[in-house]
Amino acid sequence: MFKKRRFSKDSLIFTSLIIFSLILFALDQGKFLTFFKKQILNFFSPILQKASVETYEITRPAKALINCQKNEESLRQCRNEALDVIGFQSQIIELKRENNFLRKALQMKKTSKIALVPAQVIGDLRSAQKSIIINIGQETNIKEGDAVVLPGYFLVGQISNVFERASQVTLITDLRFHLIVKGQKTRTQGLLSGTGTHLKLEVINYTDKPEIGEIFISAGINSPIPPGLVVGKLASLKDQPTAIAKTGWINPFADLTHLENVLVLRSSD
Amino acid sequence: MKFLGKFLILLTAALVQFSILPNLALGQSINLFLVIIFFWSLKQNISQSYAIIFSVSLLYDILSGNPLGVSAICYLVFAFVAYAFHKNFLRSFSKISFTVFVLLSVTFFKVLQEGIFGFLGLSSFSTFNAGLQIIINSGIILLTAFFLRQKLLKAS
Repeated sequence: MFKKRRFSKDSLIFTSLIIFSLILFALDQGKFLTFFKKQILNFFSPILQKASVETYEITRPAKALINCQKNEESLRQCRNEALDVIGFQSQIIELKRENNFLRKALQMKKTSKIALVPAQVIGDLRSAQKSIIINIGQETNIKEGDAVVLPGYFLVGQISNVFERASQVTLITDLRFHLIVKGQKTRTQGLLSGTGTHLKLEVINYTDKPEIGEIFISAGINSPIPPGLVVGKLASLKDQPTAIAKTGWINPFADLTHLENVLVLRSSD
Repeated sequence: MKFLGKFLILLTAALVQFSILPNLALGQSINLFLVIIFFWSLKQNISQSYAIIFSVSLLYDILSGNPLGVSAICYLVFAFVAYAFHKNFLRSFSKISFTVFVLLSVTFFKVLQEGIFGFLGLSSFSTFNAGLQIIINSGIILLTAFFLRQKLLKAS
């Protein structure tokens, strides 16, 4: 009736090894083989470590060369940007002089009540939420809502919790961060929101036409963050006639990945 | 003696895989283990290779921190399928058929590996990386086959 099916030697070995693998997998899940695995790892890890270090040493010059080429490119970009900054600085000096002259002429008092408090980043909660911990707290009179910047008034975030000797700073990329910003050139107002990784801009007035590359600064509306803090450059803009609002993406000026020292803008009452 | 030689080759490949290749550009995408097993599957006597693949795969799992036996299953199934396909369907060693065979085998391995790792919740699948690995490993196999074509014809 039934033909006897002959399994070849290869198939038998294959099947038995697969079954054996499954048994080992089950035993490993039950942590029965931990000691055995540790012994093997202890035996092979010095060999692997030595080989890895040797290879790293051999390949290091080539890697350094590649990095050097990349660095040269970024240096060229930096030089161009530095030239722009020098241009901006000279304009700012002129504007400050003009401002002082007008203030004197109008007999106005200085209104700025903001002090800069330096702080060090001591913790990073970026895996869970986009926030950092800094080493100053209630003793320096900083409050929730105070802005946190980098030298040059580049906005980094906002104080969200103040403890006795430390504070939590919500970064601008955090989902809970919202701020009204305006374009320096076209004065376009928009709502800036963090998306977790990027900065999204929703233009409030549909007729406004922000330009790509335009610098956006804080508007100081409905927020304890003072006006004029630099947020970033408009990188892209979606302007579809059927869309309800114009949306764009802003590249922040502040490098939020390697924060070490920051400044808190303490607003005194 | 031959068994020991084969074992040492695969053991060296596993050690190179974990120590030297990660330091090289695109080294993470190269799978020496797969390349060697592929060429073994083209030979007539595969039963001996199964035992070696199994034993070194266990070491591979220990070194990579994967659950024990997972790589063994992947590589054994890969060797079995490649051997069966080669024995039953690949009649000639023409360039096109061999290239298709290599691409299919490597893709099959990648799908199998990602499938098993995904099932166990260990996979961080990226289409780009998977595609890169398939292309690089197929390229290495084809290049090696080009240099060893006489030996391969004799072996098959």
